[in-house]
Amino acid sequence: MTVTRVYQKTLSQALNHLPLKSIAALLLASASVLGTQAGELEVVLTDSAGQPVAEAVIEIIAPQLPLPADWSLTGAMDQVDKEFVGPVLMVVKNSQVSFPNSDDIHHHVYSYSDTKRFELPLYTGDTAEPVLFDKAGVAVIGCNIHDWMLGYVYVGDSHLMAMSDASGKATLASLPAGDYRFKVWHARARPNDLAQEHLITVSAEGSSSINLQLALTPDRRIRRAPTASGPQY
Amino acid sequence: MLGLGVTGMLSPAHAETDSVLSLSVNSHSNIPNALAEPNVFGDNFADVNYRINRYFVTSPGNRLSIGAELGARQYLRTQGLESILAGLNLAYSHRAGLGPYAPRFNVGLSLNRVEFSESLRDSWVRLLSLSVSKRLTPEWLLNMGVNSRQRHAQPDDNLIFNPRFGSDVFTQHSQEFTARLEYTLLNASAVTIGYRYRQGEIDASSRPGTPLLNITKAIARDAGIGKDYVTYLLNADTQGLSLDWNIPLARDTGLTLGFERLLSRANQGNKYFNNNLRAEFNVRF
Repeated sequence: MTVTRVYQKTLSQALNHLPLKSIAALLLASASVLGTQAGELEVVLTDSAGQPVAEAVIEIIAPQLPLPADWSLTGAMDQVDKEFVGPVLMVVKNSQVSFPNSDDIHHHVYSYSDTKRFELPLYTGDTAEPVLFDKAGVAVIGCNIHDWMLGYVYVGDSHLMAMSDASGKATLASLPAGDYRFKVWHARARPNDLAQEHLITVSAEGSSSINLQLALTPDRRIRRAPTASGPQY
Repeated sequence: MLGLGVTGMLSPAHAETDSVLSLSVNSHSNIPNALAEPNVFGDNFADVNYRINRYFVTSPGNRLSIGAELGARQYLRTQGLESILAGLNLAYSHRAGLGPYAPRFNVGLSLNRVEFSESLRDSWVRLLSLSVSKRLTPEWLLNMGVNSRQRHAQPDDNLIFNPRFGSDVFTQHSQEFTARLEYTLLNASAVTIGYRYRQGEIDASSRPGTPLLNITKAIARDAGIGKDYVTYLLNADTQGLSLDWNIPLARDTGLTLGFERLLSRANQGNKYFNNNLRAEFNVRF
């Protein structure tokens, strides 16, 4: 933070001698929002019982930072033992996502979410064409053969996204110091939690942490385990 | 479509093998399916079944399956009803649309051979079934179906009880309507309520002396239930109400705890009750 202030003061003194003082002041204000040093944002997510929430996505929604030129606009969600591996994948808008099938049987991958509607019928290996996710949001991914298979592609407007691990921690490193707004998504999050925006100031050094609680909906998934065969005679 | 199906089946990737081992312990309140005391008695038995199916995805949403089954049943006290089973089945399934909410239509045919420790009951059992299942919401799944069941046994003239009737009590035909509504609780654990209505022939057993002959179509001495029992064939309307609780224990392992109450109504106002409890462990390989 000290370096940022020195930088701001020096810049201000220099601009006092320039005719475009008002524009310079605007730039100065921007510099106060986003510092030049990088800090870390750590979001710790728990459910209403205090248990860590894994596979939640946090995304910075403001300010929007430019996508680095070398950012890869690709992603992959594998299928192993009749399950989507992940099963949450984060990609930036306009990414191409492939759905390789590492099983030795066919899968029939689809989504009819508003974020992306597509269908990859009956394929194995890497033979399916990648799918372009050109709209921000969440696409729920399924297999039309194995109904219990469930995956999510989170398509962010920003590349500043992180997913919570088993301990409920989602970490965004190398953030310029400043004030940020972010949102949280989880497959079982309630609408009011999904709509909520959170504010945090990231300091130039060290980690800025925030604890959030999500009230998750009950985990009702389609059963994979075999059921009773019933009377045969 | 047919061409795709045939060539598809030649590709191993289109096929998928599913095999399930089932172990269950059961308690039935009325083993003889007797009309009234003192002929009614209950018993416990254990079933072991192994089913293997080969699924062929013939085209998107369509699946053909060919399967085989082996099973055995052992009673705790009752002598003569122990059985072994071997069978084959063929089924075709069509999903009208994409995703778990699209209705799925199924047609199946199975043929089982069941042999008992008392050979009078040895039978071929053929079951033709049609069903549709539809997920209504993430929690609710509805399944409805009809089936036609034919059981064919070999009569034994040495077991004729009354010369007016044949001994062919285990050759039976019935039709059934079934409905099951499943509600998913947490983590794929589900409760299912079921209803069945069956019209057709059933067998019931009794000690001689009960006035059975007015409703009997066939009657035979049956040591399967007990040395002093006879088994008779009759027409009845059977209704069943069931409640199952399916509990996933692991990814491919599940436990089902179930209860079913059956009531068969026959001529002359005769009623046959059965209360059946079941704990079934299933593991998929």
